[in-house]
Amino acid sequence: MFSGWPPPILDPAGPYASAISTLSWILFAMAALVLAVVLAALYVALFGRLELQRKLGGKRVIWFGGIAFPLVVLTGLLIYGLSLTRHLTDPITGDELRVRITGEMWWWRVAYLDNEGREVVHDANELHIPAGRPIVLELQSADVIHSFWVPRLSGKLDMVPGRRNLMRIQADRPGVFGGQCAEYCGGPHALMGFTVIAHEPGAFQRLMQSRLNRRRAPAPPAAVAGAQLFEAAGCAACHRIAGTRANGLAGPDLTHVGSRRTLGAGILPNNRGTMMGWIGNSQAIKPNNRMPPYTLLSSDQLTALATYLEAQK
Amino acid sequence: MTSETGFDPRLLERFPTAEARPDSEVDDLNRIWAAPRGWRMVTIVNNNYVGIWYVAAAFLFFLLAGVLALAIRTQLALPLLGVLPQETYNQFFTMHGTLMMFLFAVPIMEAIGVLLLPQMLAARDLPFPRLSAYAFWAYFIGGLCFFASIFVGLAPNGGWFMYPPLTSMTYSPGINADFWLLGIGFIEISAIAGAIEILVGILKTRAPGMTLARMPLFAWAMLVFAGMILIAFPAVILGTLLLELERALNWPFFDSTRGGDPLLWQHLFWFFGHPEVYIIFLPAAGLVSMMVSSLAKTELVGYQLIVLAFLATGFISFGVWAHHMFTTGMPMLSVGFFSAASMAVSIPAGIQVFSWIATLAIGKPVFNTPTLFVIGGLVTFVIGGLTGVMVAMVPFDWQVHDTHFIVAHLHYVLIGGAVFPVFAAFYYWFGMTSRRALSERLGKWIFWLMFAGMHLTFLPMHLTGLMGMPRRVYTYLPGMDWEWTNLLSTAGAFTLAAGVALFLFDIARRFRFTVEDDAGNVYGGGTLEWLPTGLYSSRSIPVVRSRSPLWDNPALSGEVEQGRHFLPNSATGLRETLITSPIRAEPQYLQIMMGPSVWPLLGAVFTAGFFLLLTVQAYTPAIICLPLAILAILRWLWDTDRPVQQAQVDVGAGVMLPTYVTGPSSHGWWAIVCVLVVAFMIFLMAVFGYLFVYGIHPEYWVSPGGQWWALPIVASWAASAVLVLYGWRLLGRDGSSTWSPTAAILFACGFAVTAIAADWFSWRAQGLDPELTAQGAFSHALLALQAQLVAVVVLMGGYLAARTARGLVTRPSNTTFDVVSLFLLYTAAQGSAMALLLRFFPGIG
Amino acid sequence: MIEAKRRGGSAWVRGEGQAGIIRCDRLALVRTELPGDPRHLFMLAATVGVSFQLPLEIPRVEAGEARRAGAVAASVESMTGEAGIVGPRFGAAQRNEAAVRGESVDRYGFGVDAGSEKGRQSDQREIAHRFATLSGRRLFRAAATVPLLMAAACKAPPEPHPSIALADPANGKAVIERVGCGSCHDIPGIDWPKGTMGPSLDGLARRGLVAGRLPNRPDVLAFYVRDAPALVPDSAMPAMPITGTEARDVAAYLYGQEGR
Repeated sequence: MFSGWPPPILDPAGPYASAISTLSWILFAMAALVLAVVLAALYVALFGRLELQRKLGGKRVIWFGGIAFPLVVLTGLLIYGLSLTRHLTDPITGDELRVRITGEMWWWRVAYLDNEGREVVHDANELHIPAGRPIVLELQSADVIHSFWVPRLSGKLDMVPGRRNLMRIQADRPGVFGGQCAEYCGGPHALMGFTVIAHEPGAFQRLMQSRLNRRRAPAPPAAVAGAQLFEAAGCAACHRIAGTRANGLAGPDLTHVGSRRTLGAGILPNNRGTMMGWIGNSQAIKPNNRMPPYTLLSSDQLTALATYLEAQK
Repeated sequence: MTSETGFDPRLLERFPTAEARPDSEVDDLNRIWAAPRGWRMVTIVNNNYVGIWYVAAAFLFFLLAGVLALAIRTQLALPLLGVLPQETYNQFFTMHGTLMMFLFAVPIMEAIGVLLLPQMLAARDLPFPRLSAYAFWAYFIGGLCFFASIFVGLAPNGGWFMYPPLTSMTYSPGINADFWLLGIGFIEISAIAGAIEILVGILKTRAPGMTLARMPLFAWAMLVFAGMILIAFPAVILGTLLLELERALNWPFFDSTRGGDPLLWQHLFWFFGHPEVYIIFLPAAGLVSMMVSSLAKTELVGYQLIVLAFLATGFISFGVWAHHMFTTGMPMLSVGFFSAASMAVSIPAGIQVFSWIATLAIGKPVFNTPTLFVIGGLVTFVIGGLTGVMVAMVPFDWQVHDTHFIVAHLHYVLIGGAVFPVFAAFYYWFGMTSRRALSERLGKWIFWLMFAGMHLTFLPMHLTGLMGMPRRVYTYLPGMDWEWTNLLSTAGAFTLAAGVALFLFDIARRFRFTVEDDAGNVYGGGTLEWLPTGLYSSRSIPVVRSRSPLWDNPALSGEVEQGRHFLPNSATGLRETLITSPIRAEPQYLQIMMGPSVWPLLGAVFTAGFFLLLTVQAYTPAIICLPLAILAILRWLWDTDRPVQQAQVDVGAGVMLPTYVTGPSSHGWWAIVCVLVVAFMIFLMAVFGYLFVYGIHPEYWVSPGGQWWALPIVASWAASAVLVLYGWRLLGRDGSSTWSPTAAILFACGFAVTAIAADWFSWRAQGLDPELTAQGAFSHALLALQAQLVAVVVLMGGYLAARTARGLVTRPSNTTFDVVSLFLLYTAAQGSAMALLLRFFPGIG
Repeated sequence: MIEAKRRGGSAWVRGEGQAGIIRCDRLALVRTELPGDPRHLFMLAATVGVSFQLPLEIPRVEAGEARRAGAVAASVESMTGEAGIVGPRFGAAQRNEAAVRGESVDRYGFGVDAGSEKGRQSDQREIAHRFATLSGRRLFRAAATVPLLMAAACKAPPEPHPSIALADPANGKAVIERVGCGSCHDIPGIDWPKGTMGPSLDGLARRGLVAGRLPNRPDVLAFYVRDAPALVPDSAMPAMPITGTEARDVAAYLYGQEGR
């Protein structure tokens, strides 16, 4: 999903995260300062010289240390924090690129919207964005509460059934940013990851254009058997591949699965082995996920399916 | 000196009396208060026994939850371990949180209250000993059965916060969630029973002269604690009720597809859940305040400020619940309010911390085990408080919310703010109930192991959170750099556990239960619990003239022992205690107390049976348990409210007090008012839910027709209320039979039944289906709540009639009659409010 | 008519028909060419020059494209004898023979991607490069290992730590990670994923059989990890997109993992 060092919260990659990163450092400093004051006072109270102890042992200390000092510190912090909150939740102008992300048990449905708010490109578990401009995410849930979190790009925001939360993210430079579900959503909640890939604006345009232009699912000769099997084995009942008859909506959209960096919602690298292993028995990798094991598929069938899916760029 | 009740304060000057009282009176006291032996011990209701059982049970749950924590830490020690499979892990962390919060933290505070408060206030016992026993047994039996669910893999797995829709029937079809909802709902009832007991005990049974300003700080803390429970717990009781209704009957309170809203649960849960943190912290702060003063051998600096801090904490804590919901996409305005309140609540905490530091500075603290635990707790709590301020900053919370940073934060707060203080209190007050004190040498080992273990566990965990590890994950992938902090945390958890194990060992070695020849005041406390005591507490009830009476009057112990203060004997030959006024603690009357009884135990068994059998869907036995529980409780109540022959007795030095009082100064009146506060809070929360859901999804709502129905319904309720008032007047009149006022009450019950029936049928006629929309569900839920009250009213009517038949209802006033009347009046008021609300909101459109 | 040829053209092995027996002497590469329609039976890509006599039953040969590598093979039922090693059909004399002949085998000269010139060349380049970078000491050790290996190949059960000279276990691990073997197998040293669809590969060196029926030998394993269906057609394990060298590396890595 992502690496923990340096701590992603303190290693921001965009303006929304970096504001919080600055705030974090200020808060650490504040906490260190207050802790030092309290520990010093405690040290004096226990081991200090008598005259110092006398000074410390009165109500004045409570008024100063317990009321005035925190009041000043907290008021300062509060003003800063609330103005930051307001800044981070600036009204959305409406001309940002919009992507609708729906939390599902235990993966993410991704739909890129056009200017009229229609879903034009479908994907799952992976979000491509242009670097250097804010993207608005429409967060919603299909079942239980999830929480969308890509720590290097922004704080988290819950996906609540029946509601639609708007969130902005921005990556300053191209890169790959991991994310994961942050609200306990049952079963394999621990294995519900996500990837954001920021491209140069031109590359992003090209990628979107190629996806928009895609009319037929690519099925090179080697993948013909796989394409048939995809329908025959019942994959199509749950998965959709644009440009084919496969139109299942229960599971992740596989139209671009071949180009994805990960499988199983951000948890596996995407390669031949993981593709076949996931199809064969995803339950062993991500227990209790919604995809049944297909242990009856023969090795040839697995190969055929993997060949076909790998071609779905 | 002015008086609160008309009691002449000069009468207090008569104490201590000049002469010692005869020793035969002590024998009488011993005989009257003697505890049953053998298997009859289960009928004991005395607070010395029930208190220690209660503490032991709460500690048992602490240990069980601790074992779960060790399993959790073992599983997370390294990535992808298979110590706990996914489902088991999810059950374990749910149970860990639930046990610690519901079965350890709150009960242990109530338990310490039950154990210490009577002695601290120099009362013979808490005012409702059988209620304490009931609360304990219900908690103990219910808690054990609830815990047992983990052995059969049926333990709840939705997290201790049980957010729907994850816990709804769709996503949690098993009975695991029902275990939580019914088990915890039931244990909450026990907590409320305990809170009522403690609240009335503190306000009404203090030693004469112990004004509010002289009350030990633990009593202050428990007063705020009990008040907060009465206000906060109804929210979660209602929440569990609604969620269980949604699961069992498919009424969509939280289902957004039918007009409900999952966030309603979060509001209800955290309206309880956040105050709960302070509910846990406040009693511990009270204990620390008392211990700091004793350990430093000086009066506490800033007593009034601390009391203010307690009250402020209690007040502000009800304005911070939504800081658990900053990431749900709340409106900016509420975010600002809750952020400010969350920060404000740290100011009272600052007051307490600096007051303790100032006290330590002017005093001469000795570094014994309780001092170490107090100081260790203080340092830990301050760190937890600081991270608390950090997460009150909304943008920062957006990042760390639901990560291990929060896990670290909350454990710092709860272990520093509650666990370490409770361990300090174990050491400090151990001498009160045991023949031998705990070992100081081992104590230091225990402290350092626990302290080091705690910080080793949770300090790196802050970093784990900043590195992005979410909470409630059963495993994590390798290559995320989370290995080493997790490994450290696991090592720390085992260190902490080693400290606790050593403590258990010392307890097993040293603990010998006693009340009379205890190890005594090892640490030199100055409050009344260190008077020489028996099961009846101190022999006579001292007149209190300062905050630390034992320090200010070293002779006090002797005076009390010789019976030279209030109530040196049993004036009526029964168990009794002095009831004083709530503010100035002026003697008001002598309360006759209940003795040992098996009925509270049976009541608890059958209540637990009802709830738990419902959970496992054994409906027939459950339905059998319900009337049995009611019968057991009524049977225990049957013994109460019996005036004795002597209307006035001499409580020492010729001070004459009545033995039977009704109306607002009686303890029964206070208790029923507390119950009504709880009922009102439940109703208020239901109304909040009704309006909240309307606000979120108004498109699902229809305007209810038939507004005219409100007229006959409200008229019925009014008739019922008028009849109650008329019955009260009839009781006050002279007359030979008490049947006329009882008949008025029975007619009032009849009107209540008519009103609710009319309401119900008019709703059925509307055709508003409870399964179809949240509006239907809420209307029916409100009706069901009201129907519950009416069912109680009918039971009460029958009970009153039975007592009337036995001639137990006395003129001109009677506590049972008062209780029934007040309850009926409240029911009528709530019924009218509900009938109008449902019909005229959301408006005629 | 099945013919197994050494690369370079001379025939060493002959088989009779589709169900014939291939006798394989000192050959790592077996290639069949059916009359009129050249097909490749590619099997047992030995990583070192282990020579053996292979009683191989080939019930089925699937059509492959001419000049295409990685063709299809058949089951090797007859090899599933006791202890999974070639044993039963080997007499003592034959064993000796095998051991002696082994020395004469050109260790590095086998092509792995049998049909494909390109693949072969790249393989050769890789081998050459690897060979060039070997230190003298290692080379010596590798050479010394060969006879031992051959002995191992002929004894049952095999040595506890069969290793493969000149293969690179570290690269094997990288290959395993790249192609995701872990999604079906629990492999020591591979943290994630740890699938359970296939057997755990922990302590593989001590096992008697590969895939429950093949002799546990480096060459068999190296072939199997690359193209399992060719050896065991009903195997649930699909062919993997790796080169022969990589397959040897993978086998070397797997043998290097001690049981836990």
